[in-house]
Amino acid sequence: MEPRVWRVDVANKTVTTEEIPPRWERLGGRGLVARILLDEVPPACDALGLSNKLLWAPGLLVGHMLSSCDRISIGGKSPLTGGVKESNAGGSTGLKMARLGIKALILEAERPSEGWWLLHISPQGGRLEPADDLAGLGVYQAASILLERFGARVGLAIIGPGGEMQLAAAGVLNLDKDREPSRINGRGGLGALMGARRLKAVVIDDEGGEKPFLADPSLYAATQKLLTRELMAHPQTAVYRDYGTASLVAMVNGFGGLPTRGFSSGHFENAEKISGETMRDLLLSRGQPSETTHACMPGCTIRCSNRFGDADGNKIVAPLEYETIGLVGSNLGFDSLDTIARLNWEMNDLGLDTIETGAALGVAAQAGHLSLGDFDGVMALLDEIRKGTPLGRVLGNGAATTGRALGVQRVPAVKGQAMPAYDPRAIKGTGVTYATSPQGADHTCGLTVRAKVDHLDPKGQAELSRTTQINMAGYDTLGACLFAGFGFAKAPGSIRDLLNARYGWSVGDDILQELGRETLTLERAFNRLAGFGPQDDRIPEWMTKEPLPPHNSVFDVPDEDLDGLLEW
Amino acid sequence: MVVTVRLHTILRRQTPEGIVDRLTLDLDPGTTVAAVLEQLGIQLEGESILLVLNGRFVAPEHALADGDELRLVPAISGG
Repeated sequence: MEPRVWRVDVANKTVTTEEIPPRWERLGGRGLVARILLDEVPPACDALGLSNKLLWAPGLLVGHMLSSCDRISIGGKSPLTGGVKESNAGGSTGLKMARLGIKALILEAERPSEGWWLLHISPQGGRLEPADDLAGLGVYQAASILLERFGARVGLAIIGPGGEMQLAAAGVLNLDKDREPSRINGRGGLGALMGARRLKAVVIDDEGGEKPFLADPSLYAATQKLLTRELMAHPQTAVYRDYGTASLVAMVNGFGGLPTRGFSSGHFENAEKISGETMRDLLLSRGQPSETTHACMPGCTIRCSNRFGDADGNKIVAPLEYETIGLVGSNLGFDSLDTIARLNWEMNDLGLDTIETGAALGVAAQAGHLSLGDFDGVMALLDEIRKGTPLGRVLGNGAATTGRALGVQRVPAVKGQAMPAYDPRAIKGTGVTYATSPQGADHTCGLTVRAKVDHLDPKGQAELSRTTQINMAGYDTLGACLFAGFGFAKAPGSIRDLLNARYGWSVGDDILQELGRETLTLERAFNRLAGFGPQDDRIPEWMTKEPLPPHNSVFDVPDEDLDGLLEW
Repeated sequence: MVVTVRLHTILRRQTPEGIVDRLTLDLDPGTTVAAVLEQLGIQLEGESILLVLNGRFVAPEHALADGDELRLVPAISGG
């Protein structure tokens, strides 16, 4: 199908398509989100107002089941940070949108909408249908109803009660390949933008859709084969397949950077109980429906996800990932994977980012609203969010809002967005990424934990972060999972060949970095116009003063290393 | 001198007595990290394993001291 730009207006009940403007053609995913935002959204606008737009953009390589490369980017001006926002997810949404020829889908509004709606898209076009019956429902129940109504083959992008209430911790959840609605565009409150347009779900029916056109099918096939072979042979694939992202628990705890009890320590004495090694042994002993390896996207050969079941053979949640274990587990004093999995399900059902929500709960604990390690206490607070009580809405608007409302100054956030599970005082390169990324604190924008450097030494961290940020912005523009990166690294020229084979371009060897730099430049331009300056590219002051056990380190990368880091 | 070695993820060993992920080694003073790897039959290929001594990254030629905790971490890019 000819790639087009789709526009949807819920209030006017219109779905139209148009040609791709030339300057959007060579971008996809995160880079295209930034380009469209600069072109169409006033940076100083109210994020929840009529001028903002919610964008879907498959990455440049999405559509051919290239291993780990079918991610969907969603973006808009963030209600959490007030700046540029892109958050990408696996699952089936990216692949299905690409097969409908969607270069970008732009949700916009001339006037406020009333009622609740769903958007149905297929090769025949798009239509809006009433969805008042789904209002207030959790993600799992709403997804089940929609799959019953539209058939099990469709894809879904859906919000929970959090998105409906326009909470700034709300995300958009997508189906994985087994129709589990748990692959979340989690960061930055994009679910709230969908809620602001009164759109509960997007139903994607790609029956009759087509794989995107290939300019050179034989070069594409040969390169795809090469990438798959390199990924399969790489030792990292074995770690991810057997232990998943949870393997980071023991690793980051070993570095003294695992968020523990409200970011008061980087060492959790019970980390072994919630480690990837323990999770694997537990899931193997429990058997089906538990699974230690699972692909979130069709065609992924890494299969880093899992399905977490209880001792009685009931599924609790799928998947359980490292960031959730860190923010909802050790950060809240929980040393039971079963407990963390149950809280993860609840947060998914509310349609909330587990990183932001876990961090907000950690802040609430500092204010005395929660005892650490108290499962019933957390469930009670999550119920406050579900009911939309004042306290619930405070928590659902994220860690920074919670800190302001409850009088807590120790908030682990940058640009209003909570930190993932790497304390920047122990993993300083990642701290540089938190500080300087246009997205706010986000590990996927440039994680440095794997680098062979002394993570406690402030020297050299800025350069390391910059290189990683450029590469990650490139991968996010391709629609590639960051784990595909080690396969690409082993197959030099493969990104160049894949792009040239697909689009008939003649890009060179450094296309990944070119795309990354362009993306970061566009994002920083948007933020600058939205009012951001060097003062926003900082780790919170308390983390530069309060030593973090066990190394008793503070974040001490000098400001001059941060300023101008992403300018070239 | 006594050194504790923690074997992460795929370096854990399946033995008749169960999975072993922690070893206590009695070593000669001055033994290097590389020597420990050789003793354990673990090959250090390229970027594949992170060597973490008492919470900090070290190079293979680093000499160990009594009471050290050495973590051998198959490298992964993140979560």
